[in-house]
This record gives sequence, structure tokens and C-alpha cells, in this order.
Amino acid sequence: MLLGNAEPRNVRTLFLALVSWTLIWGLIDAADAADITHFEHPPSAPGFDLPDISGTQWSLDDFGGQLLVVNFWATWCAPCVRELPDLAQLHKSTNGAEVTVVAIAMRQLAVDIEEFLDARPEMRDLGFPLIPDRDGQTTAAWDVSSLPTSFILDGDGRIHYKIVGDPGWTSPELHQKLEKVAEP
Amino acid sequence: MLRRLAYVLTIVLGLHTFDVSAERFDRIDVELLSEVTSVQPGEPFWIGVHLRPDDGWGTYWKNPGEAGLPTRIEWDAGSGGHTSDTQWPFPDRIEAQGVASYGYYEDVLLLSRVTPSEHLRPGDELSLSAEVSWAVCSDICILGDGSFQLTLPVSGGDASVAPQKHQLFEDARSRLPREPDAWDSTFVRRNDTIRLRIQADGFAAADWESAEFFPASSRILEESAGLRNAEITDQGIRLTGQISRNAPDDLHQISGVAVLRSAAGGTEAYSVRAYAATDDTGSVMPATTSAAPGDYHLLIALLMAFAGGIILNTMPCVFPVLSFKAVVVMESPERGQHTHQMHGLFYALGVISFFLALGGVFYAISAKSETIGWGFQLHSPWFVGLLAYILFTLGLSFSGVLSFGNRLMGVGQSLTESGGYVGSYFTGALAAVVATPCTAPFMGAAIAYALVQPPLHALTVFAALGAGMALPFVLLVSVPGLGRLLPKPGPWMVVMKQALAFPLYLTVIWLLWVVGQQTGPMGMAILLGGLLLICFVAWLQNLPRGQYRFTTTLAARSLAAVAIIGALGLLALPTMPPIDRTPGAATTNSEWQRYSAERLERLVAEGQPVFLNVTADWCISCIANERTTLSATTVKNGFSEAGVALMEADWTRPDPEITRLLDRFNRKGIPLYVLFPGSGPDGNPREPVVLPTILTPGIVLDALESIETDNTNQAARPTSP
Repeated sequence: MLLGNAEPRNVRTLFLALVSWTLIWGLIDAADAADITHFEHPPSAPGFDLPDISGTQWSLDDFGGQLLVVNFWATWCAPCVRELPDLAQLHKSTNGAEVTVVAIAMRQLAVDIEEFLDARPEMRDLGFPLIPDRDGQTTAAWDVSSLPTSFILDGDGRIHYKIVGDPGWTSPELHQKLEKVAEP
Repeated sequence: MLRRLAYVLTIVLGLHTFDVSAERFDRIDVELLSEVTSVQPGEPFWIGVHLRPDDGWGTYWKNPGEAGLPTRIEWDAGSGGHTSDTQWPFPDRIEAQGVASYGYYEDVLLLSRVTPSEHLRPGDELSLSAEVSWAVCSDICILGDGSFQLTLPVSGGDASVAPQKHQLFEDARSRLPREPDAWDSTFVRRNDTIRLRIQADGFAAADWESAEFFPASSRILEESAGLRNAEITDQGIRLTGQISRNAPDDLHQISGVAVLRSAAGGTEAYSVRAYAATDDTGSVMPATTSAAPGDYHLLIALLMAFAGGIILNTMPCVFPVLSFKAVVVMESPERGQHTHQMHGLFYALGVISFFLALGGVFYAISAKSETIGWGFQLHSPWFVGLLAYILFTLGLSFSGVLSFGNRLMGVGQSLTESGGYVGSYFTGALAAVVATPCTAPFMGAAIAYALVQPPLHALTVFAALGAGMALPFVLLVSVPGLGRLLPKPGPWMVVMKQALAFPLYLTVIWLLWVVGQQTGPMGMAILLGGLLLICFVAWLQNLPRGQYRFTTTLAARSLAAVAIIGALGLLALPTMPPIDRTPGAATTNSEWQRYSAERLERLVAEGQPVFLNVTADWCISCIANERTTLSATTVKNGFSEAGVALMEADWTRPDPEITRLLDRFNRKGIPLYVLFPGSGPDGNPREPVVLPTILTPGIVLDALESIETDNTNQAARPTSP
């Protein structure tokens, strides 16, 4: 037995060391999964004015007064596709702060998104607008170079968080962040 | 860190020996590499784009699977050589949280085979470039693109291999799919299941533990399930998987790569092209009778090819050859019905064998390259030049300034001799050669059908094309009643022969123009030089014999031989650099914008009606349609009134983007006219309408009227709240 002759105190120390190691690496891993930038002085968002795949025109002003998540994605981007169901849950969730989601597809056409939805019909009822950014100008204006990248905006259209990667949209940590942004 | 240091050192050391282009991008290093440090004229060698993503990051295969973006590379060797399409090492399957992709988790070398021009000289330099775009993904995805250049010196001696790169290229080549010997592949589709059966007699089943199939295009398989449930026996491999819910109903063929893995970790990859079968015994499924293009029943395809072949006889380059040959055969004295029939038979053999040969080559190339279409031979200025030489020589022969006795063209003098049948055979082959620029109506669909069939079916379609082309001549010389319709022989035959030379000269002018479009004024001037050399040969031949001893000497013949070799040599000069064509050159109308897939998609997505014309300078039907219909005032007004955007895709030279466009409409040839009618009542783009290959103003105006009617109805419909 590996620990058969060890003093109980040493065993406890080893156990604590292992737990600390696991926690530290767990935190590092979590940080690796998403790169979250918090703005102490939230800047105004660049805005957008684009039609979604059904032709409805959307702009940032349409979401005034709402806690908003602007998600930049693409149909070819596997990590983006994976987080869409979580974003849908966030959008539909009525617990805590009410959150609205819009998803802007970088340099893609409405037909690309339609084809994607044909291949994955379960994504048809995400519940939030899917907006193609055909020429990529809106994506560039928001300074997005990696996908997925999301922004958490307050009701005045100011950016509180920039999140590169999937932060775990249904996690309690994220809900805390959202509630903090929603606070008057 | 060490890896990065080694990489930097490699680049730095590499610079001492040859020019390397490498760059560090976000999460990936990208480098254009050559396996050799110097090149030899005409000696092929390999180059590659080396993608080295950071640990835990990956790039994608040509079919990225459920999600992903394939790496794209535009290779270019300028006028110094030719680069092949990208050669893709077989991919790995990457699965994460239910999303399956095909790609490379580690570094990958995407290859191209370069053939330097024969005309390079020691001391010259060969400049190579690659425009690369990629997506590199892990927990996030980053798009990137870059331009890379590489310059290699041309040496007189052996090409020297870069030792530090050789192993990298060897490894990449070992992952390229091989062409299997005598594999017979079929697939059976039952509801949601697909079963791929690869029959390979004498297959060493014991060597392999598992197998997996990677389809070359998306929407074939449910990638999350894959096609890897393998049963490996000495008769071959059976793989079972799930068909994609978006797979077309009329799926006749699937192609891709089968990867075999041994217990010891060894791998081998093979190209697979499987045809739809009715059952697991592998009997090939008869094609359905659906009216979708490229989905014709074999009999319909044969009829279309046959009809297309008959119509080829009316083309201006073919008609003179045939009509005169027919008259000569019929009116030569001492002919019996049997002799006439034999001429007809040999003529038909000549036509059919040429079409079988051309069809076979086309079929073989199209199996390996996705960027080839019917008319591929006319993408080469040298082939067009050769056609011009043949037709010009034939014209001179008709004009009476150049004669060949009874050889080759066999225009008639000694048809009773045994060589006469050979003459008929070659007339058939020649008629087929000069007919190649013309894609007659119906042929396009028949050829598109042929290319997705097993080889035997495909060749039958090409043979039907030849049989159709041969039919009028065979009937004329074989059916006694028809032959009697021809006028009696007399001096008029000489006049007719000379008159028929002019359509041939006209065709030569057209071919000169095609070369001019492909290569610019210099290529056209060179071709005129070649034609002048042929005139020189004619002059030598017509010098009065006996009057000058010179003419009977070896010198005259040698001069003629040198002139002919010179004329052929001119075609091989490296002076045929492609020129940038302006949009709408074929229609010479600035209203036509140049085709790009992105622009077309954007216009369609915006609900804008678009008329798309896929054309080429060597396509007679296209030019005829442009002159008679698309340039007609009524049609132009119709376009303008309907607010249709005009877009032209010019396929005069090979263009993979346009070939993909043709594939989208199941076409392998042109012309192709597609009307995108704009948005429907629901705001979504309506289905595009493919117009016939022979246009009339009425056809186009009817099509335009139908979209206007729809739009009017749409406007009249009450709007929903």
C-alpha cells in the first residue's frame, strides 16, 4: 500500500496539495476555455444595422433598455455551433436577469445560415435573431477576429464584458456577471 | 519553446540555400516550401504549404465535415510552369461535443506538383506563389490568410533535393490517397442507412484492423455517425453508416477516401468512387427517370448524345469536310454499293474511335480533378493552334494549292485503292477533331450524365455521340436513293471544292481570335507565323517540277520539313501568357459584370434577379446565342424592364470557380444560362431557372415575363400584418 506507513498529518497534507493542484489547474483550464475582458468603464458599442435571415431589420437601438448578449459566430465554426443551445437557454431563461441574445454570423450570407438550419433543424427554434454580416463590416467594427466572440451590453448599449470562446453561458458565474451588469 | 526555436532556425538556415516564404500568424505558422532547391526545365517537382497550428489547434480537410472551413490555396507558377490542384493528405476525424469534423490536428503539408516549362534556361528563375486562406480552430476559431512567394533557380544539371525538407514531403506523400488497382465500389442506400461495398479480390484482410471512409463532399453522410463500421474480408471492405438527411434523392455516385489502419498503427489511403447499386451484390442501380439534369436514364442520355452528334454535322468547320467527302465517294467511277457502304463504315469507325478516345481521356481526368469540364481541350492555346493549322491546311487543299494524294485527308483521288478506306477512317477522325469546339444542343446533359456513370456506360454515351455524328454520312453513301439526289459529277466539283475552302478559312479566323483572347496579340501573331510557314510549304510544293532542279532535291523537302516542325514548334513557345480579360469581353457590353460566386450569392440574397451567362470564346453556340439573342434590343430592354442584373462567367481559360458553378447545375459543358428570379413572397430567394442551350429572344423574354408576373402577383397580394 502506497500510503501505508505515512503519518496521518502527511496524508492530509498530500490530500490538500492534490486538491489545491486540481483547483489551480481547473481554474487555468476554465480561463483557457474563454478569455473574458471586463471593462471598468464600459465603452459604447459600435452598433449594427442588418437584416436577419427572415428579412427583419435589426439595430442596436431596437434593444434599448435590455440586457443584451451580442454573439459573433459562423456556421462553419464548431465551437460557435456548440454554444448556440446554451445561448438559446440563456435567451429563454426567465430566472434572474432577462437576457436577450442576437447572433451575428461573420462574413456569411442568409443562404449559408439557411443551409445550416436545413442540416440541423433542431437549431431552427433557437428563439433569437440570426443575422448574416455579409461583408464582415459589422464584425470588423466590433473588432472581432476570433469566433465565437460575445459582448455583454447593458440597457444603454455599453459593453461590460468581451468574451472570446465559450464561457459556459448557463454557469452560475456567468449569471452573476449578467446580474451585476443588469443592476441599475 | 524548443519547437518554435527549431522552426525559426529552419527558416533562417533555409534562407541560405533558397528563398522561403514563412510567416507566423495567430495560433499558426504557415510556410510555402519546395522539395528541391533548384529546378530543371520540364522536370516535375513538389511544393507544399506547411500549416503548423499550435498544440491543441487544427485546420480542415477539403470536406470539413459537420463544421469547419477548408483551407484554400491558389497556386501559381506564372508563365514558368504549371501547378496541379491541391493534393490533400487523408484527414483525421475530429470529434468534439457531438460535432464531427475532418481535418488535421497536427501540422500538415498540402501539396501541389509543379511542372516547370521546357523553355526555362539555366540561370532563369522560377517564381511560385500561393494565396492561402484557412481557419484554425480549438475552443475558438481564427480566420487567416496570406500570400507566399518562393523563387527557385533553374539549373542545367540534376534538380537538387533539399535534404531537410525531403522527409517532410515523403511523409505527406505517404498520406495521399492511392489509386487502387481493380477495385469495384458500389453503395446501397436503404432509408437512413448507407452501405459502401468495396470489392477487391485477393484483398489482404489480415493486414488491416479497421477502415473508415471520408466523403469528398459534404451532405452525403451523417458525419457524427461516420462511415467506419467496417467488415473487412478477403473479398474487400463493407462500411455501414448513416446517410445525411440533406443527401440528394438522386445520389448516383459518391467519391472520397478510404483509410485502412493496421493493428501496428500503419495506415494506407485509397481513392474510392462508388456507384449506386440495387443490392449488396453490387449490381449497378439503373438511373432513375427523374427529369433533373444529369439524372437521365441511360437510354435518354444515349438519344440525346445521338441527336447532338447529328447536329454537329451542321457546324461550319465540319460541314465542308463532310459534304465534299460524300460527293467524292458517291460520284467516283467504278463504285459499287458495297464499296460505298465500306467507306461509310470506316468513316463511322473514325468518328466513333475519336470520340471514345476523347471521352475516355476526359472521363479519366474528371475522375481525378474536380476542376475540369467538357471543352477542356480548348483551354490550351496550343490545341486551338493545332486545330487552326489542320483547318488551314485542309482549306489550302480545298483551294488546290496543297495536295496530299490519297493520304490522310483522302479527298478522293484513289478511293478504289486499299488506302481509300483508311482515307475514310481519317476523314471521320478529322471531322470529329474539328467538331470538338462545338457543344451541340443536348450534348451537355448527356456528357454530364456519362461522367457520373461507370466507365462502360460513360463510353457508350460517347460512342452514341460519334454514331450520331457519323449517321448522315453513312446514310448518304449507303442508301442508294439518297445518293441519287446528288448532282452528276462534272467540273462543278472543282468549283464547289474551292468554294468550301472559305468556311474553313473563316473557322481559322475564329480560332485565331480565340488564341488572341487566350494569350493576347503575341500569341495570335505567333499563330499567324505558323500559318505563314504552312503557306511556305504550299509554295515549295507548287514550284514547277523539272524547271528548277532545286525543287526535286532533298533541300526542298528538307525546307518543307523544317517549316512544318517550325510551325508546330511555335505552338510550344512560352509566349502564350494568359492575359486578364475584361468582364463581358464575349458580349462586349459593359452592362455585364464579371462572375464571382460571392457576388452572385450576395445579389441573390438581396432578392435581386440575376441572369447568368456561362460562356467562352471557343464556344460557338455561346457566341451565336450572344449575337442573336442576348444582344437583341428586345432582350436588352426586357432585362432592363425586369431590373435583372447581368453576370457573365467566362470559361475561355480553365477556372475552378466556374467549373464548380457548372457542377452546381450538373453541367460539364457550356453554354449555360441561368435566371435567378429574385425573392419570392416569403422574402427568400426563388429557385433558379435553367434556360435551354440554344436561346431565342422569345425563350428569354418568356422567362423574364414569368418572374415579372410573379412579382406583380406578389405586389398585389395583401401584406400580412
